[in-house]
Amino acid sequence: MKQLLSYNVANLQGKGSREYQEDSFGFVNALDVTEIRINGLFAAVADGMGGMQGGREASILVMKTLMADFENMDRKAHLGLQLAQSILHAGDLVYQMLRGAGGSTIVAGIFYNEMLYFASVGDSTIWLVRDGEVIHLNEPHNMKLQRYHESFSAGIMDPFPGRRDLQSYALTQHVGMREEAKVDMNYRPLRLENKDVLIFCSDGVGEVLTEEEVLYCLDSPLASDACARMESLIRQKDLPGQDNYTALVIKCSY
Amino acid sequence: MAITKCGNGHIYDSDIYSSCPYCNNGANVEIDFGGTETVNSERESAFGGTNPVPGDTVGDVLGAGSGNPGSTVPASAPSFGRTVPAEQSSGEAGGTVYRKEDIRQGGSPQFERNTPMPNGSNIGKTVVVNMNMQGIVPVVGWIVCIDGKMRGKSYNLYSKQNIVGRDIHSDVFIEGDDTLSGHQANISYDERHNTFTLVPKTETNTMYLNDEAIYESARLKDFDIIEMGSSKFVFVPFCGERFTWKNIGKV
Repeated sequence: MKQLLSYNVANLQGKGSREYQEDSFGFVNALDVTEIRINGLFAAVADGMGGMQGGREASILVMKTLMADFENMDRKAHLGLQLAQSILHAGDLVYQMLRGAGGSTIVAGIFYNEMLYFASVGDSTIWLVRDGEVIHLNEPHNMKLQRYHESFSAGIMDPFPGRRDLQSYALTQHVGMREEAKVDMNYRPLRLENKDVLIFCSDGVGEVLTEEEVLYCLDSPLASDACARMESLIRQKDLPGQDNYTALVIKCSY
Repeated sequence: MAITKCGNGHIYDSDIYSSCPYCNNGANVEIDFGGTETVNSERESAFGGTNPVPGDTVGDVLGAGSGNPGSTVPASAPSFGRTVPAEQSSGEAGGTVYRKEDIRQGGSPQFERNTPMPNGSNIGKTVVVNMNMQGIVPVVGWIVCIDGKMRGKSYNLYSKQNIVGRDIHSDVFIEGDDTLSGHQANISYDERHNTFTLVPKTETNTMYLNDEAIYESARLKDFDIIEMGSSKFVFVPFCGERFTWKNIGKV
């Protein structure tokens, strides 16, 4: 009988130096091996933003919607597409609730049949760590990247020719915009391998830890140890204005 | 260590916590990772005072309500040699100026990311603003669309040349009018003589200034009407007889 991958998962979250926690996160089937085999494992992080705690409401709503939709997905159809559809569905609900006054990023993954389907809107991060390399799987939806895309298509060598550079890190897509968000996803599922580690995190982690630091944190068999190390590194850096930080760590092994 | 999952999909150790510490979005509970001191994550204001920062909600004052700002550095945590950010002097606290502007013109509001940057400002929550990280560039005038797809929208003009057009890299980037050229015109502000000039830059369509076709540069006056593509704009100078910036070159 073919040996199947098992997943060792853990999460961490903190407020940083913000008043409220506006990140949300969740797993489905994280601790149930049988459920994972039948229905797959779901993991997601949403980073909310907006005034008057609209951010928190937005990210909570996104998580709830995705987790509920996940239960009802057709496992025989393309899970990645269904995940993207669920994100668009969440976007509608968030826009109805907040009319653009709040929004959220989302990074989500479905682990099913030893394959990973992921989707992302915004600038949170999905890292795949394989063979000692940290690979950023999703494309961050911020101005910097958009400019690079546009100049690439236009054949212009310098993506920032204007003297008044726009804030590079401004988000270009989020869940809950008036327009439908462009979801970054993989059509071809990623085949998972032994010792792969997936990390889903908000920019409070993604923009704070270097690849070297991430590799250091993963240098232990347990996902919960990795989380502990990541958290203490973030705390130790003690950056001014440290954003809410959330990370999910999923270690794959036989 | 008893790994448990709560109803919201959070994983925690039920040997340490009687209920999920992440629910309520981690509002109250600090996570203790075996043996290290617990920390209160609300830090005291770096400026040592109660300086409300623009963008924070009312009653949200930096440093208020924090208990014991202890520190937690587990003995085994290595340092990776990243420079510790210098603290800002209190004179700069609350001095940040915000500008409200859509980054993507015509779209829904964009959210600014308060990315944690070393020696970055302790700004607090993300709000819908556009902030120039290199400093603020003084506005010298505007054109306001009074007819066309972008009717109602104003566009800032800055010192020296402003490239106007449909091209996304234009200084005055006009969306929504396909009949406008990629590089339609330049509007330049001459600091030395405090004057504005409109220079047509395209041969694929004709521009009108106060209903006269122009093919060469023309001086602009207060409330001149510029027609380009299928849109009409009113020119409104800020700098002129009543006002000029000093040392505009030094931003």
